[in-house]
Amino acid sequence: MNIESAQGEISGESCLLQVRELTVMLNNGACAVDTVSFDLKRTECLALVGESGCGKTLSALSLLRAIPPEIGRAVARKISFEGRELNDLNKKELRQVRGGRISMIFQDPSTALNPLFSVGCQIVETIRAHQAIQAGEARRRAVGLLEEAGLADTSRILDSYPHQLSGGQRQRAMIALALSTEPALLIADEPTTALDVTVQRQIIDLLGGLLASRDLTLLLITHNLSVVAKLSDRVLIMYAGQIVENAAVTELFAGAAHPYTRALLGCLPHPKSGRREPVFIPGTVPEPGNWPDGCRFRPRCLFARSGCEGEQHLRPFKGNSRREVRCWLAEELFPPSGAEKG
Amino acid sequence: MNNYTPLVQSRDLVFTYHAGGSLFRRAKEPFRAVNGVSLEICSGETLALVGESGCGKTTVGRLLLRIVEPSWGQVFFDGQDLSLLSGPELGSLRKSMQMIFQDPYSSLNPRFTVFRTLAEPLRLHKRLSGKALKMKISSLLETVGLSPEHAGRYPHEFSGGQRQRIAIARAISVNPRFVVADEPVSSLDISIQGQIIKLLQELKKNLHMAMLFISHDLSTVYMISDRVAVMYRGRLVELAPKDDFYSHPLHPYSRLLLDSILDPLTGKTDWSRQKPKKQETGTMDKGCAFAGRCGYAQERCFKQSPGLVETAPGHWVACFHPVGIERKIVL
Repeated sequence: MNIESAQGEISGESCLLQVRELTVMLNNGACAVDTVSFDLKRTECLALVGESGCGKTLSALSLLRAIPPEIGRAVARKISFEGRELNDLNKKELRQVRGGRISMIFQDPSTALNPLFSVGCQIVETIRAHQAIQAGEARRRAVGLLEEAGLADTSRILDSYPHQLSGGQRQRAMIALALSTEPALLIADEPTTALDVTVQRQIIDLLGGLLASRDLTLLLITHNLSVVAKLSDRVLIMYAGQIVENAAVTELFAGAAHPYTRALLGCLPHPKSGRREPVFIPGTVPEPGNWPDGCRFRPRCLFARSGCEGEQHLRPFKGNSRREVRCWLAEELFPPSGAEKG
Repeated sequence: MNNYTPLVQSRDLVFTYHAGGSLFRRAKEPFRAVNGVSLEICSGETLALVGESGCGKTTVGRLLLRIVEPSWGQVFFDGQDLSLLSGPELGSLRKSMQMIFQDPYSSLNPRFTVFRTLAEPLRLHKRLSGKALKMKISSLLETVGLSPEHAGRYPHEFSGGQRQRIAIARAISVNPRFVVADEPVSSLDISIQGQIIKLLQELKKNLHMAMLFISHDLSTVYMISDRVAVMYRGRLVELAPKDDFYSHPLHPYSRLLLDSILDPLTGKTDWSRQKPKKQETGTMDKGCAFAGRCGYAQERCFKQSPGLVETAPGHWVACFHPVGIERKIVL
């Protein structure tokens, strides 16, 4: 496995999270995340994009050291959060970070909330687990959080059980719960996927608003490039356990550098395009353990040629130190256009 | 398209269940999951049924196949009233009606090989066996883009897209005349969704089936449907030919749905066009079900329930104040 330099180093103070050579091995011996490195700047929204099985969720879970031991194990050379090395924390310290300074919201709010406790009870418990305050005070804070999450009628919702709320309300309650410990980093794993389109847009707006109003950094995990365009500043595209492209969101939409990103963007249907023929990437998404040698996208790539069998490294694209691509043909295939930003 | 008799027709379909009561007490008013839905589908036509989760779209699909019995109303298949058919008669009709489910992980029996999964309907409905059965299964697998040697494998050896292909092969194996596809691509990866849509487009062209395509994704619907029906809380609120629907949606709810589609290339929507409105309110007894969320609602909308009215040939809308603004999406 090669050692990869991550995106141009960000100076210590503005960098909230540094991940170096994160690898997740599954218990069946397959490697699900392959030496992933990235930096996350404060108040930035970084999107981790990819299809199922590409390792995006496992990468995020390993930040919390939350990969179930029956699934696999994560190792990293370095995971530094707020200047502290997460690898070195003992259990007690880890508990303070996990759910405290780093919280997470999940795809399906109906399974992420405990069905046996009221929403208020869960928020109050979380607040009091991390801060020594009275129950009454914690409850007052819970009301404020629910309001911040855009819920009306907060006193009723506090006493409601998750099943009494709609999907959108549950996701809002989940967000309130995640914010209850004043986290510096919020990990959102497919926060809109399980919701209806009209509710999706409300949740996206809510997350966008929170990013603006709070001192919050967001790690957004999604397969939905439209959500990425709406919320994030920087995008990591993952394919088969590796980062294949790292770009600012404006750069990405102005012109993707990796054939996979190009193809993925091309797949998105939209009535406005007037296109009636579906576009797709041939072949199937490879599963961990079945990754081809060399460029892992090669069997599905339109541009594959001899030379792609060699190991591909993540490297700066067109000399831009914060833009990286894992394709040796990138410059040749997609020559620079005018739309470039630093 | 509508100048010949529809293959599938429903009239005032209602499906109710009791909800909201406690363990020992029934709710007073049964909940109407499907409320007076009438629609028609012709051979070779694809009708897309669109709506949010819980609006009753899947139930309509099940009612049309008579997987569930309607509380009220009728379903006609090729002119026959399904509710009057006896068990054996219905059984022989079953092969003409098939369903493709959303989740190919749970719709295939994990303990059956692909061969056995595909052989069962063929043995039952086509009385095939031996060599003829093998040949048929090989050709089916090729039709859906798999290879004959896949027949000996089990579902877990396939990816999601391939499993959905197997489920499609099973559905078309008995040459159905009507297929209900319930969110057939929404559990698949984006790079794969197009493959399945393309397969369905081809099958639709080659087999001349009528199809009900149930979906919440209006950008997918655009590629496969001939007509679009929008449901909201158990009722049809708009029914229109596809191009009409995308260029001039009339119901405020249809507009909300269309405006919620994010443009994948910019992440922008037409959200600003939508009047902001308070969050969803509880179920309403009277009036238009959408009135509580509607930016155009007036007093009348809360008192009376609008019926479907034909505003242009084939374009039906249930709204007192259809949005008259012309919108061009399709250029």
